[in-house]
Amino acid sequence: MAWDDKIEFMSEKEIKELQTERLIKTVEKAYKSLFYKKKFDEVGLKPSDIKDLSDLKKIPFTTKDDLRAAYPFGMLTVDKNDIVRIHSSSGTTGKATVIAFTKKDIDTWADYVARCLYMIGMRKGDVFQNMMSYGLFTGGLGFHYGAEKLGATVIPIGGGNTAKQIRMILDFKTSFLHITPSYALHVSEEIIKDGIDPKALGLKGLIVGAEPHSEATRKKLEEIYNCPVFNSYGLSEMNGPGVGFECEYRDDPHIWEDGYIIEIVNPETGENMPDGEEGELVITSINREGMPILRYRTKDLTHIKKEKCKCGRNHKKIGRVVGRADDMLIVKGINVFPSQIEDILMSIQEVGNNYQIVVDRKEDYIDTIKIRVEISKKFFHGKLSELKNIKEKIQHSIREEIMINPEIELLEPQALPPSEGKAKRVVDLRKI
Amino acid sequence: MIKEISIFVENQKGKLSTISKILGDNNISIKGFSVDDTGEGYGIFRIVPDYWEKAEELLKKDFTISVNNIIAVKVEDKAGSLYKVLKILSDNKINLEYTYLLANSIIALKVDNEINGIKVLKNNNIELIENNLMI
Repeated sequence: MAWDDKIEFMSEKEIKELQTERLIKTVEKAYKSLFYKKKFDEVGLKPSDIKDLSDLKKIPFTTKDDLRAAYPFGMLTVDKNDIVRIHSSSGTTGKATVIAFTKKDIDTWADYVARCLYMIGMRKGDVFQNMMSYGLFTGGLGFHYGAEKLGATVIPIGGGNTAKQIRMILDFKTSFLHITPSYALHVSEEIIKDGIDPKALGLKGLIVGAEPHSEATRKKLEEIYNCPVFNSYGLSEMNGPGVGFECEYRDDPHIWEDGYIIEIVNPETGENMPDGEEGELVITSINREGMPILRYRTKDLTHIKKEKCKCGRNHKKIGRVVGRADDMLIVKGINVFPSQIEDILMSIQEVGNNYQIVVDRKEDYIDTIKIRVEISKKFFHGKLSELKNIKEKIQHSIREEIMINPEIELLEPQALPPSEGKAKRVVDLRKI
Repeated sequence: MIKEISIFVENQKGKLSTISKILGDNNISIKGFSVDDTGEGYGIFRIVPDYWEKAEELLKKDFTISVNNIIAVKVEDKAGSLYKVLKILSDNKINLEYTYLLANSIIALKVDNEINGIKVLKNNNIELIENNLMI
């Protein structure tokens, strides 16, 4: 018994047939957007050229930069008045990306999430504490709607405020938590400090996502909370959460192939790679109405697993994401691009030429981000108040952009080694 | 007018000794200094050298520095003499940003309005030091 027996237990053949049908429809629909019309016309491709799955590779890739260029509504395939929700994902200042949903899209998305949650054992009557931030980030509302659709009792508490989180878990007898793995570790320590054994909370499961973590961390969390911990895969360009989820075997997420066609490509050449080989995940959404995205370069490095899952579902699984094809950082579960920070620093005249971003995880499992900046000689007038103002200005501007409060360290000019490429400007000391 | 050199320093070992060594090696005498530490990893080291132009020349290449005007006054070595100076400033609504001791019973005063500061101190017969070499 599953949320959607028919779809979840389709044979490979049935999945391919459904994908073909939906791909053809999606391509026709996508061609109505300014963006895809231009993209297709440029390479002389007509929607009618896409007849089956093997034609997919004729379609040019869509990248995050494309989404930025199409900001805000260049990719819509429906009238703007039919859009009922906007989400936006982090991007460089002023160049965010927009994901638009029709009423039907919201419902489809909720259904995918409900399917995931049902698969891991959530039922009506369970209490679901959603400890991810709400707002433009899709992780909060995506799970919220999915859990409500399933019929669970949702506590939309959002992130942070550990004492309140713990009180809610105790008072409402929460059964499932949606939480970042590092925060789950932090919360467990606070619970123990309160004299409570996390095992005694009676949790049925933890849903962890938004942040890379090792299998060792999962095992540790399962031990601490005495419940299964499930990995989730999603990205806002593909609705958000609910793209893929681990089943009861907790051995990497199934991607819902009735909604998403997955490919692995060589991140350098863009050529398709066979199942089992590590490369960049490319996803085509085939069950979206307002803003379908074709062959989206996720920048996530992973592989498609060849072996069948014991659960009986034929929806393909992807391996754990081993890295990124770009320099995106995930801090406290929030996606941060070093270029966002650089843009801000370079717009502040008191900042010199070099900077360094240091990401670390404290003993209490909370991520920290420290920005070390060289100050510009010509703005030093010998006053401490002036230095303090510079520091606050940098801190404030960065917090506004990335939603994380950074620590700022002011340095003398030439204190940092001159940077050769961006990579050296980021130091990640976290042990995942 | 007395010239003071402010040097931006990260709280790292050896910084102050490096600066004093450079000046000492070049026969520049530090007539007084202070350290403003923010407790946040950086601070300002202030010095009043006898040959300030030469000191500026030596330091500006490798350090973030700023040369500013300060007032230096001679105070008698007896009870109440510091108060006398500070009271003149406050009576005349001149704000003192910071102060520290120089050699030979002279104090350095950084005020928000130097011209007025000098004027009111002179009017009250406080002995002002004219330049760095006279400290």
